[in-house]
Amino acid sequence: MKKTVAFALCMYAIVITHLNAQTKDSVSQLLHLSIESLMNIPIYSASKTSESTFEAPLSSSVVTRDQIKRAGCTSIMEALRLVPGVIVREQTNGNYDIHIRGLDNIPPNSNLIFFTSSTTLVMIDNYPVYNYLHGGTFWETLPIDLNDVEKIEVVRGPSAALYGPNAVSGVINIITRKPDKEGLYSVANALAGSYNSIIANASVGYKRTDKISAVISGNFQNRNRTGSDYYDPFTGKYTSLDSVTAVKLNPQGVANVNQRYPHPDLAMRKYAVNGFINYSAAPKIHFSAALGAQHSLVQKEFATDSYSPALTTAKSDTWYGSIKGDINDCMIQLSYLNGTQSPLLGASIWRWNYNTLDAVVEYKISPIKNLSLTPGIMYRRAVYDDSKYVNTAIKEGLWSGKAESVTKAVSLRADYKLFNQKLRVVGGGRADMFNYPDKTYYSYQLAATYKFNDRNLIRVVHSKANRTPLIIDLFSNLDITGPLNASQTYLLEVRGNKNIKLLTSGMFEAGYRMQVTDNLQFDLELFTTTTRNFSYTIFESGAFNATGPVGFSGLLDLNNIAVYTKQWGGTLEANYVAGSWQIRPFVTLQKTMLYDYSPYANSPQAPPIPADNNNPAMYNIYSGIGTKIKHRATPACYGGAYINWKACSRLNVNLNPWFYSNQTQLESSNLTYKDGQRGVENIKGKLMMNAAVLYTIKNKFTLTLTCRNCFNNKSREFYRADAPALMVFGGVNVEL
Amino acid sequence: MKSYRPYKYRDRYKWLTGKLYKTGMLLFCITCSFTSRQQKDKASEYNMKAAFIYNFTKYIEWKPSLDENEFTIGVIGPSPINDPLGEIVKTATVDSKKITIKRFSKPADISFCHILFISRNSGFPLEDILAKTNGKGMLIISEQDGYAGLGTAINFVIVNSKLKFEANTKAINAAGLTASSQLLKLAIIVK
Repeated sequence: MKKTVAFALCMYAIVITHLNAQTKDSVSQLLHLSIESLMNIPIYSASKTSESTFEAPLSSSVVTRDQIKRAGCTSIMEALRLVPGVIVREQTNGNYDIHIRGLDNIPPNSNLIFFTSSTTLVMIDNYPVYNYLHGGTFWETLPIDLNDVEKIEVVRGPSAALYGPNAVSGVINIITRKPDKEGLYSVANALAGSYNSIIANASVGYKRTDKISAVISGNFQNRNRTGSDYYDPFTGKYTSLDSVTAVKLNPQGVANVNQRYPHPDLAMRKYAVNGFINYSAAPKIHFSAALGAQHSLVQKEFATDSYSPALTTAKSDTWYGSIKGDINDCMIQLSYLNGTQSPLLGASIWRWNYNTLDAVVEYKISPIKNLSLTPGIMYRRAVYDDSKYVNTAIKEGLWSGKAESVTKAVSLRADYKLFNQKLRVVGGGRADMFNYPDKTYYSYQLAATYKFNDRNLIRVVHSKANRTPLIIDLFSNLDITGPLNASQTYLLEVRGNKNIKLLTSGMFEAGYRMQVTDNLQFDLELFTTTTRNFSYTIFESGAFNATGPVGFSGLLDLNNIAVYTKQWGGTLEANYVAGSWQIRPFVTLQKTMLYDYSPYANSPQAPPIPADNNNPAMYNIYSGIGTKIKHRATPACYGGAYINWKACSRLNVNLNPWFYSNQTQLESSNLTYKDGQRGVENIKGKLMMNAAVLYTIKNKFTLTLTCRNCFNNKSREFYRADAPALMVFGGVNVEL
Repeated sequence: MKSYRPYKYRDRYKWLTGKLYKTGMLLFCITCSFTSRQQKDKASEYNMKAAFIYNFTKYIEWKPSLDENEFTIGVIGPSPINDPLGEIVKTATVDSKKITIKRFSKPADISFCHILFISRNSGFPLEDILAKTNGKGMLIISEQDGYAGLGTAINFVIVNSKLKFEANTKAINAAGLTASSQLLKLAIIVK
């Protein structure tokens, strides 16, 4: 025993002496270095790297290029699994459904298009890449890839007043990389892995003094599906494409099936090229410009028609340009996006050209010390045009013509620091005026932080935000016809609603950040939100005609439904850095309740049909008023961890587990079959383990071995999607 | 049998206490080493800051001071920079002058020093500190976001895990000091 004690004490003395010696040595060594050299030495300190997030007034998280690389993420979407409060479900290899704090699958028992997140604002360098058609984001059409990313910032909670409309459940802002050293640099990385997955990125940048820099980058991804079957909603089984009932019914035969599914095994193939230029004319005058184009072909879930299973092929070709100027305290940003989209390839009505123009001018003034005011004006125009691809005379297209949504807005942001900067108040107000609906919407955000001392900060946020008007809600203009019986046809007119009320969410949030030691930080946020004015396709009226050629004609429109949601939840994140270890676990617990929900999608005036129990006056969109049910599509518990070990200067090992609890997604066929099987996806809770090992050779070459879903957990993450599989990637990263 | 049982129990007991003791020792050593590592991590940031501060002395034209044999660096508020500064004092000099460290616990105590480092933990209003130091030829260095804009001459910031510094030329000049263009070229200039 004595020997053991003596040995332990000796070891302890050696370790301590060694460490102290190291500390002294490093100070004296540093004294011999010039400032330039000192500026290039990385420092390790949890308190400092997270200082900006420590003081952030909103619930926000940042994931950096370095963390994404160490975690072995293979795409931007996957990297969002490193962020607290974000639910990322895989649909097919490389395609994901992404929600901030849920609000997914509302209303339940809806068509697939209502599953998609339509409440998160996604931006690249502050210009929106949001899709005005239905409010979601076509993630595969992002022109940039991991090589271009400097960091991804995520803000949770309604933030329209500070970031613009659509930031209803939050904001995802992807900041691109700028050259950080003078001269020429090039970065290339390639990953190859399971299911014929190939991901290649390359960029070349040049920085000439601090004044001018330019980057050209390109990216390519090919990923095959992890399975080959498709879901057949009629039989409730997964089967080969040719055996799916809807596919067999296709009147245009095999030719159209081949058009719709040109590559049944393919999950994603996309490529893009981008150029970025930054110019600093003077210390406070900066200009930047970006230009790029992308092509993508994926199989994912977006919407279905009569002849497709849940998975469909989506094709997009887009290009964009963006310029930004910061001239003293004035910021001007102009961005333009143009493209063609076919989210149900081979179905002519699901094809259109679109373009969006965004212009923002902001001017920062500081009338008194510690107060800054930023008034701004914004103009946005989104045009969706399907007239080239459909017969508009017979209203064949979804909106059969040119649909234009215009938003003009004024905004004011204020940032005021009081009491020796201990109290910080950040406020924003915004008025959005649309061409349709003809009503001004106000959103606001008020956040306050109080820093008791350097290690303890409390904050509160109160905000309200609305979604932008959606093209589908405003402009739907489609006539659906078909045979009713041997001699008659039916006609269903689907119309938009220019007076629709916009989805609006209000939030109250309180947070506490604590820096326990220089190595350990906790961040807790508690939130409650109320969201109203969801929209859905409503059966308004209809009439049978026993004599005419049209035996039944009915009217459907896009309208608000009675349901509203309340969420209560909290996210806790801890960040611990010690020596060569970083451990950052995070978890969100939340509850979502639906009030006044009715499964019936018809008005009281609609004609009786079996779907409304043949009594529309009793079973309609209002028949749920007064009810309260638990919403099961959002997991009650989800989170993950970033565990990193820098084993030595060359070797890095990372584990990034991700988990969620059980969920149930309900699709509209649940109401048709009511068998608890069809239209119901019971998503099992799971823990997914991801791991990555990086080995650096000569500071320029890094070899990567990354494993996603290490335990090969095959439980499905999204309604009738592909089952995920174990993926192993090997790759190389070169920085010259 | 009688003698066997107590022996067995005693043996078990000894084995258990031994195990507990060893575990305790191990935990003690791990904790101590860990605390020491934490200190080391903390020092690395402040080693850098101390090295920067020492480097700054070479790029500033100092005003003549009362004591021509001493170069003083003041620190207000508790800070981990004290240790590395203490190390520097032992060996380094500025223009062949000995370096001394002054520690101030509140703004009222501040007396002349060539450089005053405001610790993040000082907790005093910046105005109070600047009121005590204005126009006295003191180079005020801080380490909090936005402080350079509020009137400190140099403010440390961390960009991409690297230590950089903001320089407020107005504040430097108002103190009666001149910073070399070489230094300003490396700084993030704040109005």
